[in-house]
Amino acid sequence: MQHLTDEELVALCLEGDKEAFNLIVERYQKQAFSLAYRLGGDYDEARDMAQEAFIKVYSELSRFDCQRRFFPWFYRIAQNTCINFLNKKGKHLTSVEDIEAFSDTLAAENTPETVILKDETSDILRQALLELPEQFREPLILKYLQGYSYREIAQTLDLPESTIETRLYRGRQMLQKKLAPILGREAKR
Amino acid sequence: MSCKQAKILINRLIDGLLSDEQQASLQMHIASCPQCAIFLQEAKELDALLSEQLSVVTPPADFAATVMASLAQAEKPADIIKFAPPPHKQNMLWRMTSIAAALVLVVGAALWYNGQTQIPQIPVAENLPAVVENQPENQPENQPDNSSQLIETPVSQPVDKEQEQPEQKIEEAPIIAAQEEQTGQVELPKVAYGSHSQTAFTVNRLAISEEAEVLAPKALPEGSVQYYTKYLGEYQLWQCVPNSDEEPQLLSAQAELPVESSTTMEYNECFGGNVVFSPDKTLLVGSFGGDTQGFWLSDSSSADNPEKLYAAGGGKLISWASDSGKVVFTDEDGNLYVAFPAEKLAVGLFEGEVVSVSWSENNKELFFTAKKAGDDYYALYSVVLP
Repeated sequence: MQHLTDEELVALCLEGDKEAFNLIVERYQKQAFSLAYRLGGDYDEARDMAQEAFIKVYSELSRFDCQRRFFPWFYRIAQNTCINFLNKKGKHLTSVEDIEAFSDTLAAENTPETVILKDETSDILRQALLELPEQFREPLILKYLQGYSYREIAQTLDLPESTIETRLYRGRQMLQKKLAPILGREAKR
Repeated sequence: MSCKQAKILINRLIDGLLSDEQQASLQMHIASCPQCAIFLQEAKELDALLSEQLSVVTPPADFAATVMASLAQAEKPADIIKFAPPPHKQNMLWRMTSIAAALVLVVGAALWYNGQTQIPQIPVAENLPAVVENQPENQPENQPDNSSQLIETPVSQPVDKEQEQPEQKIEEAPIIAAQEEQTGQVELPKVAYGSHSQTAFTVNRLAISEEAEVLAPKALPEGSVQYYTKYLGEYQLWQCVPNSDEEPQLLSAQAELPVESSTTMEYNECFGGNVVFSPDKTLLVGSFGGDTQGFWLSDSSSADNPEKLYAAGGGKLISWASDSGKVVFTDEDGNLYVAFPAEKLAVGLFEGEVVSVSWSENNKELFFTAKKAGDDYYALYSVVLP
């Protein structure tokens, strides 16, 4: 069964073949878990989110259009599940003031607190990513987390490569502006 | 090379897509532009940060088994799909009665309060779509970033009417097909006018942004309109003169969307619908979904015989023109309709998700923010009505 395509596995799932879904889970657990962890920043929570994403995918399988590619559909559900999960938990978004305050802390950084600060950098980047409009966040995550090329991102999102380039450019610009106090710290010293 | 072109090349440089020639001309620009040199440095830092922070994480060894165990209860995927229960079969008499009861209740309440009824209004913030939580970026100035072919859509620029699609007449317009410019025609058989009055209307898109929601329009007495966009966690107030060559002006920025920014939406939940008096308190309309779906009209003095003006209804938005001559409403999907109570007529105005509206002072022009299918963000529209 390993050689079957995602879409063929979905067809088997719809006939009640649970082993087929097990293969889908094994095929994409790394992607779902990484997405959940990178968006939530907590290992245990990532397990819950990724698990919820797969349950959601399973429950929605009958709505999947087998003429289309499975991964983009799966990815969207996984991403939305994670974001809804985080919203429900009330994880607050980082304000510009928080980032600026954090940047001040960094200015004094040359102590053993580096590790803690690194964690905070992760948090701030994560929140900044969450705050990006979906159309700009998706290509960035697919590029960096999945290691996709422009072409692969374009195929996944069903968009022209030129649009992907635009969105990566815009997404990076937004992040760069939002994280400017952190990014500029080396140059400011 | 302009700085904007340099930034685009820097993006390509980060992704390893620059030719030697492009790289050389970029280096030349950077050597003479300290700002772009800083931008390049920050872009590289961001790339390194993203590469480090967005690496793949290995799930626990038992992850797949845990997922499959949680699915053990379901035989097939369809087994865990939640289906809505079938609607109760109800006869038309019961539906009419329930509508009448709802309207009578509201009239009764109004009389009880000796004509002092205040229709509760929804705070604007509650009507904002959830997606506004995303923090869109925006242009730093009130200028479109048009120097680059990469830029998909300018921000908050008025759409030139001449560039819109040609006018299209439709005889019956329950819902107008989604277009850049939507048109329709309404026939008003007003006996008092001595003849039928047939008037076309046109929906124009006034402002759209690819990166920000356009929210809470407010018509001003002199014919211009104000609206908000949300940018980096703050609301920017803009003003534009519809269908003119003037560019929108940025007026201010603030942390909260003022409640008074769009107050024409009324909501008075009653029997699962929305029931609202006309401003002169002579009429009462109700917008209902479900088994009693439709848009209903009644005299406020006697609400036991409501008349169904339109088959669609059930949306949360009802907004009367201040002269009580027209009222707009939405259905459950947010599509916008206009009703002419005197003529007992309603027609579709706009297909899309309409979230807030504002009438002009003369009650002829309606401004509204809406999102058409396929659009990423809410845009500002206007329509001049007969």
